Amino acid sequence: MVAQAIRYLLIGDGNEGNNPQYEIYDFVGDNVFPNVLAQNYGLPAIVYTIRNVETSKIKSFRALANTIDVEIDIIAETYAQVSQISTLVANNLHRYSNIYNSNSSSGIGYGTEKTSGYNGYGPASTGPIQYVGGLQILDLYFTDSTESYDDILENYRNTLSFKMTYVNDATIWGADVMIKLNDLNLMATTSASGNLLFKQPIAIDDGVNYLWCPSIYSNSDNINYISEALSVNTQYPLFYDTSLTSNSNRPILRESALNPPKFNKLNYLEFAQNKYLVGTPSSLSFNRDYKEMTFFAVITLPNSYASEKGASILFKRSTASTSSGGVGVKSQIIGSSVFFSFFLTAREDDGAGGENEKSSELITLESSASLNPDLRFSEPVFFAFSVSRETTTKLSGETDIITASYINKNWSGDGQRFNVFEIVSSTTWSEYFFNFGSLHSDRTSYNTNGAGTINLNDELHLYDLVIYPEKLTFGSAKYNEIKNSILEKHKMVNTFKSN
Amino acid sequence: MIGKAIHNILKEQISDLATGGIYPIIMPQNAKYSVSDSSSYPAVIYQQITDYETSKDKNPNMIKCDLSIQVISKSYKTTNEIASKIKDVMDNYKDFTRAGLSGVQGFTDNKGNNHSYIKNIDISNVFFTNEEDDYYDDLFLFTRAIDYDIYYYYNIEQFDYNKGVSTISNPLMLSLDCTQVKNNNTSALIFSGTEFTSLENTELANFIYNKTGKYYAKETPTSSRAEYNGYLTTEDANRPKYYNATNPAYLQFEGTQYLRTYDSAYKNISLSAGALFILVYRPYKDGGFNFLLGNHVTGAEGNIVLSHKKIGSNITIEFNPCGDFATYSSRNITLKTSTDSANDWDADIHFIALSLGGNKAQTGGSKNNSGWFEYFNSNKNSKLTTGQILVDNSFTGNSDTYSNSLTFAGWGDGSNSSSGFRMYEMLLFVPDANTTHNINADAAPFQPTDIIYKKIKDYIYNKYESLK
Repeated sequence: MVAQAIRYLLIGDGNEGNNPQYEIYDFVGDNVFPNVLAQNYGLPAIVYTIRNVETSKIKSFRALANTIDVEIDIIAETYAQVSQISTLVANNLHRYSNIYNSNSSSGIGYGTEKTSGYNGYGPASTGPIQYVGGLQILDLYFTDSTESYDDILENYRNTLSFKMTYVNDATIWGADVMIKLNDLNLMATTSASGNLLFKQPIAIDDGVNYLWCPSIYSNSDNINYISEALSVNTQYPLFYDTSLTSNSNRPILRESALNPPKFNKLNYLEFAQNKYLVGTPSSLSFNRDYKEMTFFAVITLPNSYASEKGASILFKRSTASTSSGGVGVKSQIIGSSVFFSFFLTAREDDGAGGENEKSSELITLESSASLNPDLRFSEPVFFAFSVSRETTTKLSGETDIITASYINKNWSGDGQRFNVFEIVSSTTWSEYFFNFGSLHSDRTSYNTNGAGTINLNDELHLYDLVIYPEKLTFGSAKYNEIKNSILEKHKMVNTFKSN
Repeated sequence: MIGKAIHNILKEQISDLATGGIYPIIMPQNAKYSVSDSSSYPAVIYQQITDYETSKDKNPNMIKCDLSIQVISKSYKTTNEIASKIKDVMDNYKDFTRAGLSGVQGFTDNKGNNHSYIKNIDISNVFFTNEEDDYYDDLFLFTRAIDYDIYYYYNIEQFDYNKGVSTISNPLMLSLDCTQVKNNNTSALIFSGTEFTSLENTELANFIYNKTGKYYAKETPTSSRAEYNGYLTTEDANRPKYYNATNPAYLQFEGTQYLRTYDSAYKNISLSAGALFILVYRPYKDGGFNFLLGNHVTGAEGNIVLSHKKIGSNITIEFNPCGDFATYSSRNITLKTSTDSANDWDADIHFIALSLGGNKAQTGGSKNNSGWFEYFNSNKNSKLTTGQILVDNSFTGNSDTYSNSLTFAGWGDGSNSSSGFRMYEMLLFVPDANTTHNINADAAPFQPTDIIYKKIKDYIYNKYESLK
């Protein structure tokens, strides 16, 4: 990802009209190579090399940021061309800022002209972090340059050295989708004046018309799509209110109270009843199918103790008919007990060449006067699960849950680390059984085919969401890093877990 | 990068090197640098290592270059002589000559910083650091390496790097800066008469010098390129007035005062492939036009005119590519109309970027001079997005057939009066050739997404803090 981003910083969107790196591309075209010049290359050319990774170490977790040395070699047959290209590269990369912000009076814009392929739908970088090519660049600066002559190849060369610091988080580790609500520059809201039509960044209590992820969809082998040309791979995940400036469906960005340990003044998306955001482009994000994944989220389900509630975290809106996977949460009152459950919806063959949706509860927690009386899903709940198709008829995985209301309780059971689950299909599971079209939903009285007929549109508060395109082993280093990076800000890290 | 400047210093200041023999990084094999030369020697090779000086600002102000100059010849005597001449030129290099060693007079500014202009480089200081003799016994050559630390300013003139072969000066052709003041409180790049006399406050100006010195341009699309004098000039009766009592300093134009491009006579610059104008100015008198860019052609399609006027409460920023708002009124492009004096007139500093496509006859497109603009001032800077510029600030040119190409002549109009405006600075960028910018033939060659425009904005915001 880093190398590809560096290439983008040099030649941008190639022969697109408003390519921010057009002047460099005009010189070198596609003659940009990693580490070594290709044989039978054209000149002038650029070679980039990453050297020396320094990590910004902290005690308990993986490094927060990486600083790398980048060498850019400008090679040409004439000294003049080397100087000209060097001037452009040094000026573009030093203290790099992506000024491409195409928000206007007529529509939402992006940090790139492209709406397909690599870097497509990228957010405009309206804050200190430059979101480009999947990286979150904190700083990029020129350090020095050295001219030389390659007497074997008879070329002039100028080696420009840069230092680049970028955020090291789940997006670098391979996450497919991650929301980052503490950066208001990753959201846009309708503008009061109408010009810009949508403004970015937003403020607390603004409606969220557009929500970007800070990095691009992965190129994982666990993803299937209709055809490569229609893939959303390497684009930025983007979710939006389909009613545009009517603001009919959008959630509100809120900030929780400062009331530790449960509420720590963190941003969350308040999906009021029937509100949702759809993935862009909606048809293509629906067709991004997973054959295994790991899901992480922190949510609250308001008012779910006193009355039964149901909400999708991932699913589809009511007007979408495509078979969809989903993840949801519900509360059910039976007698004097309240049962809180997370459930998974996946796609199985319907026996007639099509697909059914089939659901199953992944974990259920009970609260009553004598059992976990203070358990509330209206207080932050961390939930993670992994899943893959173990056989054609069985999905299996692990679950992990931490509740703010019982922050030190091991819900897996004494001596246990994580729970496991199995879901058996009525027929056979699709090979790529999971997809989704929206965050939250407006569906009511929905037959989940395994988790009850419930509303999926009740109010939901979403603090964190990470989707990893791989079935991680719970308790492994990678799993722990992603989990802890989410929990640290919720002050949930040091909960009891048996060894 | 400083290579071009070093090359010029050595070539122009050392007679032994006037016909050639100066090479970057490596000397070609059998490099007879003129047909009559019997030998490839003496030769001088230069090589640089560059780094930025640490700066808290987003843009570093200063770049430090480790320059190594190697003199090579067949005799120690020749090597020693040329090396001595190089040291005489380079050590503590300061161009305080009358006319400037590269056609632009150097100076110490009112902040105590040295400026010595060599092509696209503004040198602050040059310090000798080391010298070493050597003998190449395989080649029977004597050599001396002389090392220098060169400190030069990191500024917009670096974009005068001349893309293409045997072409006009590009992309930066003109950098005209009225704001530079010498340490004796006189004008740095503005002079009266022919004696390079700097001006005191309220004196009349005959010349403003281009920071990059002489430049190559064409008068018409089909003419050969010519080397223009490195200044704009005027007649005594049409001289604008220089003011430096307030910061920044400026030239004030009223009536038919002007300054024009010149090459042995007044000569227009053809912009048939398009151009990008950057102007920092202030329209300070209302009542009629203010010709920030003026026309000096009568009876035919003339030079581009750009005006920021206020008549009554009506404020208009407009341009005409053919020199006359009345005669060629169908080609007028109104960029902005307003009645909001506070936000569109009263400000002390105004910025406008006007980017124009070329003429359809040369570009092969269907429109003349389509493009975009960006305007803001020290009272109101809404910091437009690129989307706003492209969607809301784009304009479509006309589809007429021109008799004369789009041309630039200068500031102020020779025939039509300006009410009164102040000019602080102008940059003129031109492409090396027709370009579609991968958009279409009518597209302006400079887009708001370009690296160059990004650096222009950085330069402007860094220099004029009230525009931030």
